[in-house]
Amino acid sequence: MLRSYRLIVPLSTVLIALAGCSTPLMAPHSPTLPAQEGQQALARTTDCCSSLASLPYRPITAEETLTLNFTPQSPAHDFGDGKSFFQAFELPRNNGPIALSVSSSIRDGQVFAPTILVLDANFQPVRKVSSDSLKVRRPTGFTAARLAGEFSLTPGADAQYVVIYTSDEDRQASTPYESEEKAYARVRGLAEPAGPDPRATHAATGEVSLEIASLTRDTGMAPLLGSNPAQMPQTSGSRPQPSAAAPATTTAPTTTTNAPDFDYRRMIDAALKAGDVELALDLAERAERSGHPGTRAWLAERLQAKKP
Amino acid sequence: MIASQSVLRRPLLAAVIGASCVMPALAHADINPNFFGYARSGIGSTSGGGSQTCFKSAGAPAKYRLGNECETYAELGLGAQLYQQQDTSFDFASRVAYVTAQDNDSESLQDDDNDIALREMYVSGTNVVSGLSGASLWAGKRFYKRHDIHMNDFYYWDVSGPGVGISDIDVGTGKLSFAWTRSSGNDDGDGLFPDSGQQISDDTVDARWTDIPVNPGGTLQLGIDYGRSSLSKWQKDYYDDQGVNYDDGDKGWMGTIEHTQSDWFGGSNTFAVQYATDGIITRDGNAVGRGTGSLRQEGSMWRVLDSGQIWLAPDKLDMLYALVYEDKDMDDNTGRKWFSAGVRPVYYWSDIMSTAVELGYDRIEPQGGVNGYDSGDHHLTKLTLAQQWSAGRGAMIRPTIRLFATYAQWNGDAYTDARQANSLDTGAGPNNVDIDDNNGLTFGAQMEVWWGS
Repeated sequence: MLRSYRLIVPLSTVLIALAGCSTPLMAPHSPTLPAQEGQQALARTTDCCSSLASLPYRPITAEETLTLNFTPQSPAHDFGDGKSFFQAFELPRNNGPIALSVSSSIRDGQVFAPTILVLDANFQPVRKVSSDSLKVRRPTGFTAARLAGEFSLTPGADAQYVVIYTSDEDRQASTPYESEEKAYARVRGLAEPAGPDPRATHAATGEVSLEIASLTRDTGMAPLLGSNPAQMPQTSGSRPQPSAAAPATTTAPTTTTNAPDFDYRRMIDAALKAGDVELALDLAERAERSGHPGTRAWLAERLQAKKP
Repeated sequence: MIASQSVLRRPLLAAVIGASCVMPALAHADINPNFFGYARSGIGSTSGGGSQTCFKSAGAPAKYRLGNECETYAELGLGAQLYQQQDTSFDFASRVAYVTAQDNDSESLQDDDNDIALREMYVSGTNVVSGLSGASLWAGKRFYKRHDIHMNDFYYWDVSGPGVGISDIDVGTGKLSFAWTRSSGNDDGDGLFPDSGQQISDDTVDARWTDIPVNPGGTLQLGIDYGRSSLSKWQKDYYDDQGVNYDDGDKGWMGTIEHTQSDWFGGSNTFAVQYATDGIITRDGNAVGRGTGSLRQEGSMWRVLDSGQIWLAPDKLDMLYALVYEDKDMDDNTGRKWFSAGVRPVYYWSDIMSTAVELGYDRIEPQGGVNGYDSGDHHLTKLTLAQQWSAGRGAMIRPTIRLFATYAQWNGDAYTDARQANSLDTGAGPNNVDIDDNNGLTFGAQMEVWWGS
């Protein structure tokens, strides 16, 4: 009895956390348009726009969760790597770094495999995240198997717009995923069903969930960056392990959560050394906001100095 | 993937993202708890009065389950990946199972039909043994590669329990797994054993060769289980003094050959043949391939099973089906033959709503020495109609809420005059049909759900 009582606290925590997820994700969704029909609809749709500058951009805020439907009614454009239905957004200015999370559910054996294109203020592509860098998440009983990924950027002149579409290359690939039967076997301790995993066709239409979260809200941002410095790229080129579980043996000192004297400049140096300018910029932004004025200028100097 | 992704690997940020919940909660915490489980519960009545009767043929190890489950059952599991470095990882899992008679709001564990059971508590280490790429070393209590037929909840190969093993060793053609598990039991004898609290520990050694490709989309697996009662010296002395011959009955083995065909009318088919001997069989209940604690049980068992799921019309109509023939031939004539067949077609009106029909038939032919239920041949047919609301299309999609009506008929009286099992099993739930009834009708509602990340 005592043991089961002890389980209650973590259990109820997880239950409450999951309760937040379950309702919206289990809501009914529109029927899936078969991949072939979606492809034909795309072929019939004319290019809406002459250039990236003339796409219909829709402003979004730094705290928003959007369900994006890519349907035969959506606008289409040829992005150079294929014509695609798309959705285009203008990022919030002066808001500091944001995190973008995309998630595309596998339904009826098909999935919309998104490419995320970031444009600068002059509508020039500055960054492209194609679907092959997204991860396949297995089904949980609360959510279907899905393609998901997240990345951060700092909106500004160098990153002002985001376009989500699916390229020819995206559509030629397919995604193996865990079937419901296999997931059921996993959670019930059954023998894994024999046979290969099914593969989801990459379709021209579908539904993508996009979440934008500000990384600089006042609530507890400082401890975020300070809490686990060992995961930062301190050594040249080496990437932090993409695993969720941090090895128990890492040297990570558990810094106090409020780390007032968090050494931003050292971290920025480390990021630069690893060639990760993006991270350095984010860190500088962070430093400015948590009471280290001049860090941005200092970084600018460092960057100037690095150039020939 | 992207440089600044590392910014996201921060516990508190994870909490922020988790709270707003596009990704699974806590997805980025250093320890990623995995909450998994299964549950079913509901309410039902028997036509004519009383709570829901569940129809199971006396002597049969299983019953067709749609609209024919009378208890609340749940498994709640918690686990986590505790270590991961390159390909090497350690995972922990635990599981507690709950069963209640679903009679009341508050159901005490002191009541007979209610139970909490610790089912799993184990750690597995993947790629921890050098030279055995992909293999997992594990120890602790666990559900071990259980084989079942879903629609009648029949487990035909299940050596779960406390144990140790190494699984999924890649041998080029398929994978090898070895395990040693334990299941203790009481002596099956005549009460000779001096202290019923002193149980007989049974050890099972399980070896499997799985994932052997034999034809396009088809794989074979072969398994052998050897189980024996591990008698302590004083136990042996005791039985020797009593003149009990336990030379064969305390041990036995079971062999399994199973073929699974994927790409089978949109689903899959599993065909299995099993043979088992002596102590690894149970007279009643179910022989799953592990020792049973019996000492004087001699005989043999044959079992042939075929089950699967097919799509009769893509996205519109699918069907589960099952076929079982089992012949337990016990030396003391306490065995029986069991034949079982069932189909569950489901028509999907939309992504959410479906109509399911389940037709199931069980026939029992007891050997001459059987007592405890109708010793003549008896059979039971059940038919269920259910309207279901589920989170998608497909036989294994849950959660589901269903409204059902179940009709069953059988030959012979349902129960004896003392309301003991005759043609109907008395242990499957409330017994609310009349003693001499030959049929019954129940109705009710049930939910079923499973989850896990």
